[in-house]
Amino acid sequence: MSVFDEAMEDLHNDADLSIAAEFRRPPFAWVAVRAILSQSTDAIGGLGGLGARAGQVQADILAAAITDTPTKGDQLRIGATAYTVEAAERDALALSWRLTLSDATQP
Amino acid sequence: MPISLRETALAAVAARLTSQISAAIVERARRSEVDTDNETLPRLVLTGGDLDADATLEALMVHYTLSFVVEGYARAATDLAAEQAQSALYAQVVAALAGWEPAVAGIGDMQEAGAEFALLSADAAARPAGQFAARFSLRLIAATGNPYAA
Repeated sequence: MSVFDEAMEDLHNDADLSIAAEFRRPPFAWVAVRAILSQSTDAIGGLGGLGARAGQVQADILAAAITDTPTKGDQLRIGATAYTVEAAERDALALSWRLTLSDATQP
Repeated sequence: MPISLRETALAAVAARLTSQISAAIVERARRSEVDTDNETLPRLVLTGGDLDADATLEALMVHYTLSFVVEGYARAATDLAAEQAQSALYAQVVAALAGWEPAVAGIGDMQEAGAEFALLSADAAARPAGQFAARFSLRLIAATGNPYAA
């Protein structure tokens, strides 16, 4: 394990930075992970007019905590909310995944 | 103080939208973005646009073309439902305005001029929502130098 692995693991185990979550690829079982959440609300470009303002949610999870490569349609559950993974981006060292989440229900 | 023909026309359009689309909130002259997470939706925002003037069509009268935009915002539980809600709201706007003649002297000839649609992308909005901007125009006719409602 490199110093980068250890540093990343320390960050994800820090209770002040991360929260307990669960990941799964439906219909498989949930797997416990730690997630570092990023939530921001931003103005979104309009159609030549006012535009909208909305919040987005992203979660970083350790790559070692899951066996799958996250993909659209996977789920991350935080508390009672099951978010749907819309996109997944791996960091340069392949240590973590940044998941773009949607709280849309599955159609 | 007399009320300008432009304001009279926009007020008539807002009243029409309010009366015909009871499920949506109608606002005018809003200057801030619509918060699709926290505000009540569906919501329509009416904004007046430019006036083109033509004094060549009729002696001592000016024919104005007033453009305006109706922006619509809708939210739903799924991505598909958000797009469907957006389409349904747009259809209600067109049904309310296209072909409608305001009961105000000097205002008429409502024209539909198309619309742009966008679903908010997932990396910007976690909750499925969409917006559209529907463009229309109205003909306003006033005596030269007297752009007020009769």
